[in-house]
Amino acid sequence: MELQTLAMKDATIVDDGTTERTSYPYVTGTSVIGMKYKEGVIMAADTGGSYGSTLRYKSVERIKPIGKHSLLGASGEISDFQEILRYLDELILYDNMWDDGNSLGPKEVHNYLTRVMYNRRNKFDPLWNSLVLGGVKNGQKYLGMVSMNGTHFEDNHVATGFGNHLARPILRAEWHEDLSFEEAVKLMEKCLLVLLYRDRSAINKFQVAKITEEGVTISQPYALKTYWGFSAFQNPSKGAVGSW
Amino acid sequence: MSSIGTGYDLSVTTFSPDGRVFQIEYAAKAVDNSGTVIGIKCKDGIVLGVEKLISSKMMLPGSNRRIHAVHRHSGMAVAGLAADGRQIVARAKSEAASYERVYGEAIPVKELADRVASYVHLCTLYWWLRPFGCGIILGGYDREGPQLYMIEPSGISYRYFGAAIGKGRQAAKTEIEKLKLSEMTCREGVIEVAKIIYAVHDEAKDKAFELEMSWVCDESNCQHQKVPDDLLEQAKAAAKAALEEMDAD
Repeated sequence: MELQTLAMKDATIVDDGTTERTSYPYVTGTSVIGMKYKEGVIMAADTGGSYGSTLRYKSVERIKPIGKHSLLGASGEISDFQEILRYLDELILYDNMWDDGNSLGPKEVHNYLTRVMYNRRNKFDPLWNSLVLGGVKNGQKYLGMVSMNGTHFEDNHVATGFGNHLARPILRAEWHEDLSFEEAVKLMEKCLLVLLYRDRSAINKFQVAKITEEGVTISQPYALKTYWGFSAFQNPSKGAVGSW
Repeated sequence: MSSIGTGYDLSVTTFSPDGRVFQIEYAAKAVDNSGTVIGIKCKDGIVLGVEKLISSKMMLPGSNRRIHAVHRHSGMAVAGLAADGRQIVARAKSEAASYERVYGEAIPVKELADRVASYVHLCTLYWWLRPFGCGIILGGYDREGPQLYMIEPSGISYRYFGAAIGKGRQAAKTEIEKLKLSEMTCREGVIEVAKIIYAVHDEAKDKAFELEMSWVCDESNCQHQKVPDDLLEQAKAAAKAALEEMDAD
């Protein structure tokens, strides 16, 4: 009975008696960037939630700590991200209740998320997110990504959405092993600045999160300095061709 | 109290002429024959302690957990048939998770106790089910503060500030009544519970036992967890010392 009402909620009933599932994102977050550094993993995202082309929500936290060892950042549908956080909350709770000195590490959480995303995709009812999962356990750093169709991989630096096209080339050129925290933040801010200039859904309000063996720190939102004084931007309509 | 049912004790759906359901009373006997389980409510939290009787020297210490976390803020200690207890714990975990899914907050301890008690009671209503052969002491910390409940195989659940079930319950209850619980912190409570369990353990009838303790208190950040190892060792040492003092008299 419950399954039926759930299906009714998600699906549209077409007149010939069949049902279809429709799925498109409503409130979305833009890129998330993650990279490994000396002591752990650093991740950054802006705090914007767009409703189509409108920048509707400007204080959306898109990076959350998971258990003791992981950080999850998400782009895409914010409500699906919140649902994923609910699933992970229960996962971590049941893990804690064993009370056996063991806890789920980033590799395990990444695998769990991959299973969830892939299974939903197979039911034609995806969770519309690109997830970045980073963490440190027993000195081992881990950084991985899962997309909405279940594609998953691990790398030294990852990004979602526009970040893949604008940030990763920078990271491929300038990332190296054992970055210090300050170097990593500088590199991160370089990528974030490019995204801010070029991605229309990015806003100038970022949170940078880091995870090390000691624990998680998520910064307060802050803004980057931008420069718009380029000569080409003065008098923008000077050389424009118009009909009158 | 003589409880030979003769004829009225074959099914849990049969009352005896004097209004008793014998099957439930027999279930309670399973609880009475198990190792002692104690719970106390101190001013800042709950302490649970179990006398785990060791049936075989080959058992690994620390195995056979008798106290289980049911949610972040609550745990239950089980006395009686261990397999039955596992079932009840699983059900309690499921109830707690489902409450949180629907209402967005941790299940109030009273609500959890009600649900567990209803479940236990359920199994006393049908002839094709047998009653659970375990007693549960449930301790949790919610908005109303720390609370302690005891659930019997009949499905009765009451709130207590001190409860004991199992072999040494009479002696344990007497000891608990002597304590000034409202002025005690959980740190002190842990020592007292250890002393009581060591005191009521019957050296003659049962050989070895392992002490298992857990708490939910301000110090543990309102999370249910095993008592930290150093405090547990401290408590065991104090309990053994108190025992020697008693023997010396």
